[in-house]
Amino acid sequence: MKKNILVIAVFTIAILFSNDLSAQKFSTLDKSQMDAASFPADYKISDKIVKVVYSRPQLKGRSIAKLAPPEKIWRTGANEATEITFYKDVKFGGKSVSAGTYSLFTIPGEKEWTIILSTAKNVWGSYFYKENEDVVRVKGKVMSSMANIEAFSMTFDDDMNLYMGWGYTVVKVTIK
Amino acid sequence: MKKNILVIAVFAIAVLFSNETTAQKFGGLDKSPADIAMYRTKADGPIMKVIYSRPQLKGRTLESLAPSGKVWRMGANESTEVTFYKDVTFGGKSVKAGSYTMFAIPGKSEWTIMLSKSLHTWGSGSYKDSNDVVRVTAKVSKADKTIEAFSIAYSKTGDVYFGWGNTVVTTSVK
Repeated sequence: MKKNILVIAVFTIAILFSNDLSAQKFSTLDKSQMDAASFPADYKISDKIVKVVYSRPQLKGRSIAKLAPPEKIWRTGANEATEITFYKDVKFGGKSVSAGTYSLFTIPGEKEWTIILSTAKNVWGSYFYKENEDVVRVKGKVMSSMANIEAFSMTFDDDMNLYMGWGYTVVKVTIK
Repeated sequence: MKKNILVIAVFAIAVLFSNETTAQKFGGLDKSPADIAMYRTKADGPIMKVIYSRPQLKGRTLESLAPSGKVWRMGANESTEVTFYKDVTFGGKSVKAGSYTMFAIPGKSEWTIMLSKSLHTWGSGSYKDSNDVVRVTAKVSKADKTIEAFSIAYSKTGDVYFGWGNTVVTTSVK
């Protein structure tokens, strides 16, 4: 009984002296950290044409065929669906796309991948993917990387082509 | 010579049957990883989203990383970007739906938080107060434990928290 009273007293004091934010949980760093790629890539140029925000899962000894199986919709990253913003009208993979923000999904394949832009926004992964929200489906050419890419990567070259790389697989989509 | 021809033949076959190779360079993982802090309610869906980078203390003090009285980028790398999905009241002031960059001026008992209409900038080097949309003040309180990586979080009722080290700064979105 004495012990119980002591425990209660300690708790009461602890509550009295802690502030009202003690319940606030700040999250730790994500295992598949987020990153952004934009064109023009130069950080000094703020007049961007395209920006992609995505999460970067790592292979950790696993194969890309297992993590992004052929012929299945892949979230093309991790966590929140990958988001691409065009600040002007473009030709994405040869098809016209209006300026705006879209979710980006892919269907991996051996020689080419299907890249899907969807009007779905702020969704998690590809679980909520609906074909009727497609804006365009285009093809991206599969190439081989000379080096193993441990963390899923997206980048633009000097001609605004979009590259997605993971493992030894690189997929290229043209943007004009 | 025979061996050379064999090597060339093997290479030729390998090239024929493999995809085109590319030397395209990809970036490594960033030391201050980006993250998303999303505030949504069941009734209204997404209300506020922040995309920011998360530097870590690594034994340094917050005062050395975000000095009092100076404009701080509120993260790292690309300027921190806030999107409101509807017109809101942020820190007591009206802000229209849209995207803004966010900066802060740290202080002892309160911080000033600025929303700027300049977009896609890097850090706070190019910050101009003439591009401010609003400036609000936010209360400083003490964290109950050290927050290693700069963090943004929300309460269910729309309090917005910025936490780093032993410092928590609170404002609101309604």
